[in-house]
Amino acid sequence: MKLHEELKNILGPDSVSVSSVDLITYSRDNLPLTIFRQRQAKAAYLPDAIVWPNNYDDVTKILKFANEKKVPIVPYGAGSGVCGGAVPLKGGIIVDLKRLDKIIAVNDKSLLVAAQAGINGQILEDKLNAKGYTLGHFPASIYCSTLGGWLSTKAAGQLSTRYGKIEDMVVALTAVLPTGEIISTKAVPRTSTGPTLMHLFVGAEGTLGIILDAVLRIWPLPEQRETKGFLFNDVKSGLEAIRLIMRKGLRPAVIRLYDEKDTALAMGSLGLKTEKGLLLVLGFVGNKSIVETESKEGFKICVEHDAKELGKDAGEFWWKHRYDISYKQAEILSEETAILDTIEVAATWDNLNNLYEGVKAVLDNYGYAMAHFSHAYPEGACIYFTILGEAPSEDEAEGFYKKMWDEVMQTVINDGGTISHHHGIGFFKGEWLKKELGNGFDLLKKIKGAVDPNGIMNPGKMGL
Amino acid sequence: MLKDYLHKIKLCAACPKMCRFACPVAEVEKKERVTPWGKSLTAFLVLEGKLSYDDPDVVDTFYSCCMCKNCKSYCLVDDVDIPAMIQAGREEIVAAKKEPEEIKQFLVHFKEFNNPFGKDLKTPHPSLSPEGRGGLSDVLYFTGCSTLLDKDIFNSTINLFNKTGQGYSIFSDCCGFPLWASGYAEDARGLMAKVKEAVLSSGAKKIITSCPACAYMLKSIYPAIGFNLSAEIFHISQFIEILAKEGRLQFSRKSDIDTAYHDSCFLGRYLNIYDAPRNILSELAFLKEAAKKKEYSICCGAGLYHFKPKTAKGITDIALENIKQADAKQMITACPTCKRIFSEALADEISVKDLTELI
Repeated sequence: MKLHEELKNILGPDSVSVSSVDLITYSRDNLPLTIFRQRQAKAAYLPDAIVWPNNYDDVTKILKFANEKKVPIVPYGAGSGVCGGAVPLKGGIIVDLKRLDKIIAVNDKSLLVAAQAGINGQILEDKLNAKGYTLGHFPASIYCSTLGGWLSTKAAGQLSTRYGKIEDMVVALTAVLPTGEIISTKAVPRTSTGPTLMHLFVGAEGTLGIILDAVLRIWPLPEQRETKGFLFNDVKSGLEAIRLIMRKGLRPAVIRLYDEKDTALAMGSLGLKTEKGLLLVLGFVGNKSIVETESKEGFKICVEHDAKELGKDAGEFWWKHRYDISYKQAEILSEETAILDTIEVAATWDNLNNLYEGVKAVLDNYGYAMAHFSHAYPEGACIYFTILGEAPSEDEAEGFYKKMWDEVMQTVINDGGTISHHHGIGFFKGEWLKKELGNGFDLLKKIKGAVDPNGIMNPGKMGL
Repeated sequence: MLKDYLHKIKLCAACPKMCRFACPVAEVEKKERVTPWGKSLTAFLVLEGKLSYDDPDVVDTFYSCCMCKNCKSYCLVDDVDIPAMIQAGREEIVAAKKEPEEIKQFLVHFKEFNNPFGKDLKTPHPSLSPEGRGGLSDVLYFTGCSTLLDKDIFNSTINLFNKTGQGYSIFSDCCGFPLWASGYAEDARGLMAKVKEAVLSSGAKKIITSCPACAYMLKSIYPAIGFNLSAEIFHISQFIEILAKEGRLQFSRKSDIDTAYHDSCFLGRYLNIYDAPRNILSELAFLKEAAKKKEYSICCGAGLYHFKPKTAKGITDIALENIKQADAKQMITACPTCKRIFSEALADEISVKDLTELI
């Protein structure tokens, strides 16, 4: 019996497809390399079948079947990942989780939401807003990503300094192992009961199992928002202001410093008109009196570092356009030889500028490189590079692109940064993950071998 | 032709699918190929010769769009227009005789009485006659077909004209939208040519419709294919505003019933008419807005009921969930089709009325 016939017997005909157009539309995610192939009308990596489970039992049945037959399983949310985490690298079955899209419960007293993994990010946020809450997770991909994707890639949103990253938000989760066994962790504020099993799946990119649902912290909708833009003279003074804001214990919702090129090109392309300099957007949300106090302190630190205050309009401009840059991808990557990508790395304050200079020097050889500093911590920050380049020819685009990534990743490792702050690894960064983790990677492999001895879960991802 | 949209198709296919959550079909079916991005990628590969209309799933992809244009409300990319691209694809599919069986049956069904409802709609309305009612006038009430299906909308509109002393003639044939949207461009053109002749011979200078799709067809599609009607087109909500401003209409006492207003896709996103119905409604009832409103309003699902009823029902449910968030006791629309879909779905849960029924 053919694979799709067996799957239809297990799940029913409405939950399985092997049609050409379905296979093609699941042959890539948002890794630019796969888009290069698409624009040449080539499918990047074709799966053998796609399934849409209707309930947890369906997922169990699929995994048991795949484990027995040793067929690769690729969990799929919305395909917005930029590292190739959701591509069927070795064929197999795409398990699209979007039919598992319910909000299971909202607990007002404990400020928790339980939701299924396939729910779209913006829809989850809209539904929470309608009840007076926010999750506080606002990745630029919020319109086109799912809760399961956020957890599996260990994502971070634009307001992460205030609300935390996804690993700070998740309190408990339910996942299916390759054997079909379902495990649920307990929804408690914290537990001192050994290593946190939940975190085996957060950031595992579907290599250990499939996340079915999660319990997450939520917040009452903020009473107040106070945001201003500032113009700094150079990276060092901007970073120093951010460092001191974090050191002082302030919790800005948004704190982003755009370097000179990012200010001029990225923010400029969205319509922001400023003088030459580096834009810093600093905003606070939450309780009115706390916001007033924190913003006063935060804004003062910026002024003390010779920043020119651009006022609230520049701050509100950022809020209004905060997802707009994602649309630029369409205009750029639809061009035959264009290269566009983002590279998000992180380091401690003492090393941050060094890392910035090092990576920028590499990227400058490949095109127009720009960056912003975001997701600030008391100990450091993320640097988010954007590279806009042009390959010598359409056929050379992949080689050009891979060479650029090789050089950048090596530089990040040499300079003591991490190769990914929040996009994850996918298949594309797998080899560099080995370099980053050192002998820790061997431990990761052993865990993988113990949980998934047949290697069916998202094979080829994270170097596994 | 589909190839005329190639540039925009390529743009859309290179997007991270930013509008996907706003596409009601994608949100119900959960398949990548029915997202606006998936539709564009499919179209691109058809144009590249990698996929063809021989594949039923390719055809299904082109027909998995309710033309609601909500994707456009979340699109910032160089005037990408998914419904227009879909329309071009459907015309090619029909030309290749590859349309789905349900669509073929729809055409047969339509031709029986020249409307999509499979019955003679004119009989229950004896007041309809070629010479019109209310005396000779340069105002033509273009009921189209879906208004005729709803006696309450028809009667309340006629009452409105009578009450304000507005003379009118009536034209009650289908505008051609159902054929046009299904890809039967030639059949639609034939019907539209007859409509054009009738409208021109009526001498109408102002055409008033209850149906937003009729208004859109007459205002945009007719001229686009060279059918100039030599008349101004008004949706009834716009005309009521004019009557009120001219002092010819006084609104009855304001009701204290909490009322939600649903923006129809064609009245809103296609014709950009958001304020007129709200201005009128605010004189008549206590307006409570749904979370998704105006250009972000959620389609009632009507465009898919004859082809994919299960998906259409799912879309209706999403729209109702949004409307129910307003916690209103009644729902008002300014579109006979939205009213019909929501009335059937809600039964007696919440009363659904057309704007004209409140006056």
